[in-house]
Amino acid sequence: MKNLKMEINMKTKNVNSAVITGFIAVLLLAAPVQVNAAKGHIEIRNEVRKVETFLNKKGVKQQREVEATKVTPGDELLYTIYFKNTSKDATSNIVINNPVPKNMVYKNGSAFGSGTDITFSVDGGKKFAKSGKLKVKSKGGKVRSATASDYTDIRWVFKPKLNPGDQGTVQFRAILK
Amino acid sequence: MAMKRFILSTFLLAGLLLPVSSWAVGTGANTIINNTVNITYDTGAVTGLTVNASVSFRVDEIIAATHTWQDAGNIIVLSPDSNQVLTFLLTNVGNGVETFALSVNNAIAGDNFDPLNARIYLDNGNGIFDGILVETLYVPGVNDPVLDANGVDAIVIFVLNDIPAALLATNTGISRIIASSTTPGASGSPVGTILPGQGDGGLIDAIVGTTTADVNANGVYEVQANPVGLVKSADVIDDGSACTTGCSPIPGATIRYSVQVNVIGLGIAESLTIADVIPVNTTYLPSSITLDAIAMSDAVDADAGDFTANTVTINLGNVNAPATRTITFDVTIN
Repeated sequence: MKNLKMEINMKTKNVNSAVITGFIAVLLLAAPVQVNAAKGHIEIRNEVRKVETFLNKKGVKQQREVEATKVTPGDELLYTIYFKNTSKDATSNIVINNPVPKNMVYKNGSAFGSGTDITFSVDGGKKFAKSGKLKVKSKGGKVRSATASDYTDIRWVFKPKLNPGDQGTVQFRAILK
Repeated sequence: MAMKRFILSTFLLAGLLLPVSSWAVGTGANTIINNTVNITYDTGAVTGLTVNASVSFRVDEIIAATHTWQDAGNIIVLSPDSNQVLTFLLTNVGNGVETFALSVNNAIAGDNFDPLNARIYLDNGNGIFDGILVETLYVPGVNDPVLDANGVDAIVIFVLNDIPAALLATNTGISRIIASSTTPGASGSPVGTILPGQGDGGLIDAIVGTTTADVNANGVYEVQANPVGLVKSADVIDDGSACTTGCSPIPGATIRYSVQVNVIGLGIAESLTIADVIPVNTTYLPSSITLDAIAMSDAVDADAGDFTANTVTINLGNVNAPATRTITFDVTIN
């Protein structure tokens, strides 16, 4: 480790408002940081949780969601996107696009969304198709079927209208490389 | 066919192992992982509206390392001996930058002797020990290796020991090198221990990985075996004609066999026993065994020689090398 933390501690000896701000920033960075959507008709909340495997009282492996801290390579993360129509107008043709985060691999079969058609892209969002219908070129130029680890983007097409006050949720899981 | 089968099994093995080992070194500690979702929608009046939302977290640091002995086999040494080199490789398999303190423990069970005067040298980059004047002597706390899991992640380490005197051939001595992360609280902690704020940069936690923060490897010295050489000759010493030279190997003649035992090298040849079966069509001449010109009885008793089951046996015991012992015995031709 490097000694950044130590520098901050040393600064706190000279109490001033700038240092206190620094401390708040540190605390925020430790927990997942959310950037709220700009005000419009639809408000989005983008949430990440860590999926933890543990042994229950019977000694059987189970999974539970915990705060996305203590995340290290190989960990599985669950992303949940909540969207709500906060306006007075009905909305339609709702399409949710989520590139797979950098340094992460999409977990096969994990995308979920009630009332949605789910498609994937392997070319950064140019073309989308159903799981199992995508092809990629390997290094040798051979074309093969794409697997979940090739996915670059996930798309949910929300079929119903989203009337004022209505809300929806989509989810996917990814693994940190 | 044998080759084909080998390749096939290798493939199967690789297939089985890959999912486990694919993220040995993963996303670097302190990396910010951002996820941004975008929603497009229409209202009755407007089409193509868009809205985004992001969430991010920071990757914590995993402390993990491997340490492996690099020599092809036991290092063959003499007794005594000095500056014998063992070669090790220390690799950071975590996801951050870690500093490691090194130490040697020679009091390891399961060997015959403890190597002495351990010293650690850090490789100058070519992986080969180029002598104590070229390689860097390791001084704890002064030049602890710093390994970056996503950069220069490994270092070759040499351990030099001296070998005690008066060891027996094939005796082994184990020398263990230990590398421990210097992150406060990491060394000695069990797998999964969380060290708050101790990750790279100080904003993240460090977590003790599956290898723990202390990794070690054993190297083995082996005392050179003593090659024992036997030189056997036969002379007809008496054919009934009062000959002194040129005696004839006729029935009734006496043949003197001479076996010279040469123990070469250094150290001790342990429990050295020479057994020689009397040739067919000859008869052992009772009380004819000598060892270094001293007569031995035929009985199994205090002296080194005996004649039992038509075999001359000399028990030389432990012989300090280098040494030459001479055995003679006589037979008559039937």
